[in-house]
Amino acid sequence: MITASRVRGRRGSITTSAPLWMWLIAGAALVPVFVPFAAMLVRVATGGSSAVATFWSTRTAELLGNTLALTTAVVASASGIGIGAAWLTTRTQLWGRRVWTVVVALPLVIPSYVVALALRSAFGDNGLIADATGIAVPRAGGFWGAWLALTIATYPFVYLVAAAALRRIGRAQEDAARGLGASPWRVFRTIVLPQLRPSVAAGALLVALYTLSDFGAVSLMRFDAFTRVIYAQYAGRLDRTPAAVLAVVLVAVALTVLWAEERSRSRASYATPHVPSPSLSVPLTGRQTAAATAALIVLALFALGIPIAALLSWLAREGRAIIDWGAIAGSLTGATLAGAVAFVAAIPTSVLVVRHVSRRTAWLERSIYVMFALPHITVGLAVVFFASRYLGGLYQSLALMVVVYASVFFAEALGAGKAALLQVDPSLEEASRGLGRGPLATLSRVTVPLIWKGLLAGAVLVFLTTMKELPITLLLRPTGFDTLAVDVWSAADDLLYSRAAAPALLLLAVSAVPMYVLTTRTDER
Amino acid sequence: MNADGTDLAIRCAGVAKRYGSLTALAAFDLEVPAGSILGLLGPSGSGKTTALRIVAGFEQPDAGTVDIAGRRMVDDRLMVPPEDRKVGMVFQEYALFPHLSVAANVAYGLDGRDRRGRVDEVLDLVGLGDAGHRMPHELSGGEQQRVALARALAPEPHVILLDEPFSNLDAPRRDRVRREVRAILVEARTTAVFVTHDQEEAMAMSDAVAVMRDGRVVQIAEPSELYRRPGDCWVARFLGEAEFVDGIAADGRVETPLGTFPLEADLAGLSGNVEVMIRPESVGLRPDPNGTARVAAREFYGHDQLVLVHLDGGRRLLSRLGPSPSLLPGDRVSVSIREVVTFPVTEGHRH
Repeated sequence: MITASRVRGRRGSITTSAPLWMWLIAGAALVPVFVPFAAMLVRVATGGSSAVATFWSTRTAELLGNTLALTTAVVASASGIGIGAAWLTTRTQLWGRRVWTVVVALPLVIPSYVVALALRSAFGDNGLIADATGIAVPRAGGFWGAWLALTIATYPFVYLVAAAALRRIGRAQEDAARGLGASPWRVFRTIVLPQLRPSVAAGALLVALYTLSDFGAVSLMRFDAFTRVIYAQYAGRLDRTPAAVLAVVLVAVALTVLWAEERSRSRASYATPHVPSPSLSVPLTGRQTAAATAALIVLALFALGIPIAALLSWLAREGRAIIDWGAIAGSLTGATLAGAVAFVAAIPTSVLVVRHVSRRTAWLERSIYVMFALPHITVGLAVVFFASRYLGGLYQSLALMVVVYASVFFAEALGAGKAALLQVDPSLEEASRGLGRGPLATLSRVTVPLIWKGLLAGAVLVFLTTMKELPITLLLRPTGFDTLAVDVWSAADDLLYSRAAAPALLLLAVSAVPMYVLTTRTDER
Repeated sequence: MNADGTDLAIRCAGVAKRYGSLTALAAFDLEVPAGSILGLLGPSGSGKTTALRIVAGFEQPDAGTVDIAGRRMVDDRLMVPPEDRKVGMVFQEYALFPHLSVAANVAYGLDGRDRRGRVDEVLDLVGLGDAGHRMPHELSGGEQQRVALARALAPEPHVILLDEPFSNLDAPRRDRVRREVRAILVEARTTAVFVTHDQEEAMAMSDAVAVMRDGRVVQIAEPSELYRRPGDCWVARFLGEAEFVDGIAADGRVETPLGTFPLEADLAGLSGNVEVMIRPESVGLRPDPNGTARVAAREFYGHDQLVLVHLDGGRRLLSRLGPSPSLLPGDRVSVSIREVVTFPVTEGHRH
């Protein structure tokens, strides 16, 4: 029967080739990022003594050390917290388990620079914690401040994939191990953890890329990671080659991480047949329950309690909320347009990737994910170089910024569109062709009506991430164009925390609404 | 027009298709006269669905030609897209558009002013005249099947292709739907080709059955002819239970360990080693304490029964009888063979 299934596997598509216009649209999605990058590479390669000097300076080595140390530390802590929280919320009968599953995931909507702003204002001699309790706490800043902020901002990535994997992995093996006399800890270490590895690796990859790419938290914490120094070099120097050199090194680091994770994934594949089985949850003693609950409370305090309390108390201290309508309009305009562009481009691209599987479409998909993984500051920088030199009127235009947003976050729209299209039986499209409708009519009358909801969910994701985006906006925004993210960052950078509180809270509120809709929607399925 | 003057709805010549190292079709030839219903029968992996999809235009063959209603669809340089072939396809899972009502599904392939009229006409034809406003998921499997058929018939295609059309229906409903579908196809006077791996279904539905094996048509014939005179031992066994014994042909007769039988008229001149096929329905049994065989097992179906007997020489033989006589394992019986089919021995096709 192997032969029969192989024939069926080929039934995914009409074997005539994909229309050219689909390739043109999908290819256009790559242009706003890859063309400027190519130009930047050329600039660095031909940058002469300035480029060489920058590359070999001790500064580069120091930045590399800082960035790698921070990334390693954040990946370790975020993975530990994420796995631990996932195990507690899926395998124990903790009181309020259902509430905890939501609370623990919530920090996902808080951008790293908001966390950093809150931590800076909460810690230290004059911080909110000292004011409220009288206990002296150290300032949040430098390495450990950036580490704390980024751990809080990223552990939900690991938590979500680990919790999903734990729900998927049949518990029969764990029960068998327990039946053979293994302690809960030994079961976790020898049975659960090895099976979690592939999904935790995927989560850890997101954490590593997020940390490498993060600009807001490290700059507010005054920690010299690549991103902060690249921006400083760009903003403060006439010779922009050093910034370009550092950007190229950072991109190389990010791509190395991506490559290493892909290699480790292809070697570690675990077949875990889904055998749902009724199972006892791990019983905890009274003391263990208390300890586990306390751990989750501390986590929630740091990840949600402190940020929200800090923002609210600054707002109260200010006495009134300064609402920057221009920034709200800017955020909504940029994010909505980026979502719309990604929505439209995702239609033909999903069809290419799902219905015309080939080596070329595999490359297309991979390129789209690479764009997503590139540190945003380097994307912004490359586009600035390119646009200021070659694009004239488009430089610092809303159109250019929106197109770059849409390209960078295109992977989110494509992922959603692809998932939706995989649910559609290809024979529906064949039926339409057989009834005399050409490819375009089939797309508009059958395919799109069946996948638009999934595409919309993807567009909402693009909208959300664009709302929170900082470095691309800083580098590409038209003169006078403000967003909530820029408001938060510039106020916090000037230590004007009370002015940052209102836009930060607005940002959280606006992000929380589509997030809520998205999560309840997926729950329904 | 074909050589003997009949219109051909489909003509495939030398069609080949490979997927990597797997040969799905190797020199596939088929001619389907207009207005007939043809069953494409074969075990899974024999290439029948690939053949159907190539005719419909969903796959491009590596070699060969396809003509539909006398028009060239595929050759070395040409590949007419599916939407320009006027071929109606009924998919295994029906592929009704879930976001469209029954009427909108049926109207999907229609253009022009009189769409409403044609929709009503074909929905009446399939007996669903009052279901136009319903959504596909509100229909039973058999009803969905008929909507899919109506949708395919609506644009008056040259030919209707059906891919395993009854495999999604449970057994008791399948026979009824099969009869309905055949009646609809006959009433619509359309040419139809359907793919199946079920021998009974192929023979009950079709005017002619094409048996496929390893990517080619090994025999094409009217169903009763096919059953009674299969082209080789493989086809014989694929179509139903059959026992084979060696025999020697001479003087218009064939001599076997089970007796001597007359040769069929067209084989009268045959002499030498042959193989002889015995179908269970040609084997008669009679309770007889002095008989030469013993009943080993029996499956009783009501309208008939299948009895396995062991001959005293050690040979086994199956017999299909009416509900009587009542035979039980251990009973002695005498055996009479009414009819055999003789095959000249060919290399590589011995049982």
